[in-house]
Amino acid sequence: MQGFSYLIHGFLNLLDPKILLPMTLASISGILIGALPGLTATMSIALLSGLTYDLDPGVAIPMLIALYVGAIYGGSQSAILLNIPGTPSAAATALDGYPLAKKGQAGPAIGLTRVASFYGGLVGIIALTIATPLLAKLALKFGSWEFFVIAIMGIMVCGSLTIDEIPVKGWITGFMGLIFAMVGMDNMTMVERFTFGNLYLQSGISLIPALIGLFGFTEVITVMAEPRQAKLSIDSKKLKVSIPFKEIFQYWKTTIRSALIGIGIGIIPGVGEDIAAWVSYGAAKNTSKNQEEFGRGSKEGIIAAETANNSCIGGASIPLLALAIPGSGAAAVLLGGIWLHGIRPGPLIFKEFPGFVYEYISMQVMANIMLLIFGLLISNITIKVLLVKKDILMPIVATLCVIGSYAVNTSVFDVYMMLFFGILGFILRVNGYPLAPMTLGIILGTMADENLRRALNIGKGSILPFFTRPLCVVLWLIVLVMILSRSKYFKQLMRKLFSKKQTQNI
Amino acid sequence: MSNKKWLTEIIIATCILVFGIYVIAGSIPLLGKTPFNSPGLTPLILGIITTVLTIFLFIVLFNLRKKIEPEKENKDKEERELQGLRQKRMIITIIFILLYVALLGKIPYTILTFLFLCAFMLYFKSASLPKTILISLAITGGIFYVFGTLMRVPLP
Repeated sequence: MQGFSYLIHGFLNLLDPKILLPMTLASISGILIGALPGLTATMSIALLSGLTYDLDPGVAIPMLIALYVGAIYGGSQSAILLNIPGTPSAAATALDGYPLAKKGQAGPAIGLTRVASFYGGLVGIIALTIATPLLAKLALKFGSWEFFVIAIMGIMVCGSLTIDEIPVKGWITGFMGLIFAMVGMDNMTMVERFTFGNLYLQSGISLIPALIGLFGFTEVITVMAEPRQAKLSIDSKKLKVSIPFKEIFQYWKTTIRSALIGIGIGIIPGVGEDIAAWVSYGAAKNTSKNQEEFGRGSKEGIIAAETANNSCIGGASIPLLALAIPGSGAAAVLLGGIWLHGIRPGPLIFKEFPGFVYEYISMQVMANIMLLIFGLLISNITIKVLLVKKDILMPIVATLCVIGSYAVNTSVFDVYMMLFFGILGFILRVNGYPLAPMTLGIILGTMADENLRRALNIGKGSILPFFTRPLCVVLWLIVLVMILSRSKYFKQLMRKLFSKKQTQNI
Repeated sequence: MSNKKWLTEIIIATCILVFGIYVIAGSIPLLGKTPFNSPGLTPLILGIITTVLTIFLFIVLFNLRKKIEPEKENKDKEERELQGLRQKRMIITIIFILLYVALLGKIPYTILTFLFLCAFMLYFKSASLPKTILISLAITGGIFYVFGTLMRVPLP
């Protein structure tokens, strides 16, 4: 009951024009940024975290959430009109959205993405409301052993799922992220680690500049490297967005399944919206009666991808709030933004910041309502934004990366840090190393370090509890399955098993 | 995978291996009399894991070498030109940003930002000269107003 009153209170707070107006601006910006190829949700949250550091948390956090929700949705518009997903999470939408646009059905396709995103977002919020208190309660029973294993599991799972080939690359970037988190003065012994005698490094790697570098700077270089400018699939004046209600009701099974897939994948640390969209798209294709339509303009395919990537936001927020372990790359950056404003998510969040989880939920609800309203209202503006030359846009983003990383501590050293991570991120990304595990590593590093040593201290140096405590065993098993599932022998075995089953059925 | 790509992969893996070994070497002096409580323990473990994973990556890469496709001699001329253009644009962008950051604090921020935006857009022929100046002025003014005036950030 207290939770409900917090929820209402949080929602009423958001109606204050001082919060509502910035949140509206962030929502619209999110949709526009998401629509622009190259400007991802993760990057925009990293940038906004740096830009809003001085604002009141009551204003800054709703802005970050509105931007997050808007940007994940916004990617679908360029996927449909340009055949280039504005964000990686809209890549699956492009498969069917673009063929539909070419058939002259861009308007209904965009309308469908709006409603599917809104629906997915709402189901994600319901899951967030139910699961967060339960997980936080469960997490209170976790010891240091479990927290350490969870951090390692997060890196391994994220590393496995964010790369198609050579998963070891994902694990390597994850562990590199953990190592970067070790830089600075050790909180437990006050001993300097890998600071090279640099005063600025004593307080560790500054999270926001590092994230701006990894996602902002990297993106600027990647987008600028491509000389070709995308072209619209239709005449911008002819676009008329409509909501095809018939399809929404026709594919109700797909929407429910996709929302659940999105939530499930969202809960897995660091995996994120793009994987949710692909898995959901794959599931819809495999179970559809009209499989041949997929890739040629299937409305069911669009519904599957868009519902899942938006429900994933709610799913990713569950471990973020209850365990301080983000469920996606974008959620990882959001966590950095929340930390910046002095709020520490984790198992104690309901005690230390009573009401924050419910305020967060009300922010998500509001962000989804805004998404539905502005998504429909500004379609024709978004289409004009898509025509802005990237050669104009990218230098502006570069200046924002610089000022955003500088503003956090008013330190030029942070700008150098941003550059370091930007160049490192670019080299790694170009060579097929995913950056999400590195982000997760930087965020989880301190937790892994402190819990490992605390656990060893309690156990007087014994490592046995890491492998004998029931939950640790389950978590290690998940890690093991994850590693094995990427080996060719496991894939061969699964193929054999499935082919046997099929032959038996015949 | 082409031979060139494979070589790049090997160079990057070698850099990561050196990084892992460096972390191990840097962690050992931090291990005290009770290693399980020392600040060097976690970096040491992470360094070892990174090194082992990189060795595993080397094995994967050497296995992939068998699948290296010979470089197509008659590679599309257009594709080659595009590749060259990509590299040129990437390097120029990095140089522009590096120069911008290197001059931070040496030239007043607003002037530097205006010059950076103008130079960048003019080099890439993004817009006409008056439009470039107008956009650069608007963005610089906007950043100055939001950060310098509204948020009272002492600009570099």
